[in-house]
Amino acid sequence: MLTYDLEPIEVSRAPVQPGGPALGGLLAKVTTANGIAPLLVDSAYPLNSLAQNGCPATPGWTYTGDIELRAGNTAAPVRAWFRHVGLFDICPGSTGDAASQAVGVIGGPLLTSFAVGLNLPRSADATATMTLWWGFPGSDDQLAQDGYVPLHFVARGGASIAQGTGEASVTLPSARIALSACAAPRAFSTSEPAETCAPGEVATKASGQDLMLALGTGEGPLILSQSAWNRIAAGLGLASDAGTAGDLFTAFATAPTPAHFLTLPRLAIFQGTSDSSWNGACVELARARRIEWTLANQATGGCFQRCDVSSGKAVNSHSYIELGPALDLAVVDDSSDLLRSLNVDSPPNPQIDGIIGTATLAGTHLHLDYLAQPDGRVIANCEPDSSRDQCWTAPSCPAGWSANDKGHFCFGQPVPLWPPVCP
Amino acid sequence: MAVTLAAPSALAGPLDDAHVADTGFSGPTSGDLTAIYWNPAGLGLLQGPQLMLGGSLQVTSVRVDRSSSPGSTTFPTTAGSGTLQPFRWPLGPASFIGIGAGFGHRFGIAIALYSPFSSTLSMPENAPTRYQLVSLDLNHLAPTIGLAIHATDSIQIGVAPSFVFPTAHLVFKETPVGGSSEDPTTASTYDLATQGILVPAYILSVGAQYRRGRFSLGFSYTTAPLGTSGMLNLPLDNAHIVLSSAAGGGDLCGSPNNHCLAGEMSYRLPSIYNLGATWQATKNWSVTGVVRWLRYGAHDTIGILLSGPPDKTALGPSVPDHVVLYRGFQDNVDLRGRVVWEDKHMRLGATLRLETSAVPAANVNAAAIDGTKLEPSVAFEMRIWRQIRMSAGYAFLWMFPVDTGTSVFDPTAATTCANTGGDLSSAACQARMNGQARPSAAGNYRQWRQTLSVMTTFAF
Repeated sequence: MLTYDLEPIEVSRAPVQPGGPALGGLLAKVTTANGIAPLLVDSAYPLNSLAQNGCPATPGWTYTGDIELRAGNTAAPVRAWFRHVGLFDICPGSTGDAASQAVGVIGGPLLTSFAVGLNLPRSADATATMTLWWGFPGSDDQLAQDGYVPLHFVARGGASIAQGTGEASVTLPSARIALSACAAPRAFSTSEPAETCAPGEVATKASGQDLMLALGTGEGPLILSQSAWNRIAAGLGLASDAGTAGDLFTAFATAPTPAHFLTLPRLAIFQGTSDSSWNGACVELARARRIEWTLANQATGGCFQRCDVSSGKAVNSHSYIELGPALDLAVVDDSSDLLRSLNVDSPPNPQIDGIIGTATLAGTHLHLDYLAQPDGRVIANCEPDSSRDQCWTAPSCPAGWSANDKGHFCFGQPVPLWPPVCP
Repeated sequence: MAVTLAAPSALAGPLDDAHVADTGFSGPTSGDLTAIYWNPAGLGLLQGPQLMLGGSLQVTSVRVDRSSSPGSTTFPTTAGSGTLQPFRWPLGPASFIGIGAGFGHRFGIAIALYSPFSSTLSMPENAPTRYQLVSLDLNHLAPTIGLAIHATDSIQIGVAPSFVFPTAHLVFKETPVGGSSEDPTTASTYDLATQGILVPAYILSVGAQYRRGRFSLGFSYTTAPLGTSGMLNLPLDNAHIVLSSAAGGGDLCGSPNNHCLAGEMSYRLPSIYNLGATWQATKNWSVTGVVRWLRYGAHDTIGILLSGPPDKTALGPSVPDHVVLYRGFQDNVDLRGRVVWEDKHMRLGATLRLETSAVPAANVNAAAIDGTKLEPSVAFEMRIWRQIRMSAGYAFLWMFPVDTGTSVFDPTAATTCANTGGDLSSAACQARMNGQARPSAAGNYRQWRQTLSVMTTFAF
């Protein structure tokens, strides 16, 4: 039984990395037999846990228990009760640094009961909040007209696990949000020269590397596998071991994970689903930018590139949110516990390359609408006064957008008279 | 010829229509098309094709004398009213259209359209009741298919799945976030409505009927919406907030897009048990008793969520983007006793209905007025042609006046809760969570309702 109100719940944020700013994993608090203790909120974590004897402790197995959720601030008022929920009696690893040890995790399986609103200020001094709603109103089109970016996903991470050979197994539900992303695309401005693109060239004009990333509110930096980073590094002209070596603390492993830390210039996040019009994140980003450039430059003769046109009209662009300009990045080995856990998936799905952590998302407002039908969706918008290189949202720009549609939002452009297709 | 009758329709409790299609003669032992609602097993008694068309005009009047607030204001008496009639779109409430047929004492099948749950009431916009209700119009249109078979010579069983298409229009005043003072200059007006036809919910009725000699017994059960724990979720695609004068007035959205809000409303509908028995005392006289048990306890709150453009920065921090309207209903019982006289050409019926309150006194407010009710009704049916019968009925419902005593609504709860940091272990925050942190609804509530209905039955 879930008892909660619809009001914001204050959460604190762990450090991004040892000594880093407090923009990392979300920490609430929980009542335990030993007093009030930190509780991690991690959408990427595959299970719910609460160590009955505090942490560190010898791992136990599953039990049915209660979580008395408290705000993550000093006063720690009670903000919700989750009663008779399935819990694992295990301690998660520390998050951010060795000192940020939670006694449990509200993971994906519990969060899927809600539309989880997250207010993640860019400033570490400002208070982050989480709200639990039973849905988020508005169709994708309504939300797009309002300036939100709805990104659909199909939950992943289903698995069966057993304590030992011959023991009864426990089924973990698919509860992990996985989204497509384009890492390190080139910089873009509507004042740059036009990018030409003939039919058949749509893939060759893309920049950046396609990734599939989980969204993890319990992690700090953007975390990538070494193999994914190698592809990006090659494009950026960087060494595969660039950055500073150090330890990454995440809930996925009780011991710190060796990593090298550096920054990524840009990350564009798209839907996690694919359809017949989907060409991959980086291709869709390049296409959306060309359409935006055309709309912005129509007064000076801008025209739609022929690779972006179907039946004489520009195709629909896909919604995305682009973050930058220097995103904290941790690169870990492909064989690390973290990456192996992320890719436990039944039935098998395309490989997940890493996690979008909370520090990456600083400066955004998100709603993780697990309850939307037919697919879950992440609804994103930027903190007010964000600059374009910090946070930029581009809801889908529909091809059929009427000039009379006063409400529609196409890259923030005024209502266009649709430009012609380039000869 | 199948015998059917039209009669008055009246709302039972604040949401349920206790007399779908008929007041004077229908019930769990009926063997006409109204059985599709009352007890689908009764469709097994249909003989040949049948068509029923009917509607009613129902006028509800309420009077509210709010208790003076501490220290203070004396509130004037507030009168409100609501009229249900079928001539609108979407169709209903208070309408019934059914068509069906029985096949050789083996089985019967029917389809019908009616509204099992509806509620309508309007109060003056600036009355002392405005924080609970300015106007409310809930309707649930239910296209239904019913099927019954004869299990034995004396037992029929039936099933009737329904789609439920809800529509809603709700208007009320809302205090700013964290406040609950009854200051007209700071209250926003929430005008929230569905638009068009929504994705339906599903309910299911099952029933059985036993007949032996002069005695018949019927029992049926109608579920709450299936697959959603009884919950209905309604998109509010026509949502507006008119800002308070202190906040500058005008629509929150402004121009050019004055439909910038998206909303969602959620509440539970009850399940219903019906039990009825009829004794044919003589050739012309029969008596019927009916008991209905409505599981209103599930209808605890109406939850409302709203979203708007990120640049409407007032929505959320100062103008609430979520509202919980406390209902706090309880299960209730509807008892009715009926005497019917009939011959070959006409029928006369008299019914006395007693229904317990679905709303505890302390929870009564302008949006949920209910108490113990008494409703006498009379009905008359006449054959006007070989295959056509027409009927009319009249009912008068009187609710015993309700004095709320100490209202469950506590205007100090929002502030008290905020001072605890929103601690849900405090009574004030639990009150806020349940939607009780609103201006008080303490007072005296009265209600009357008159219903006039007509029905035409074609039986071939």
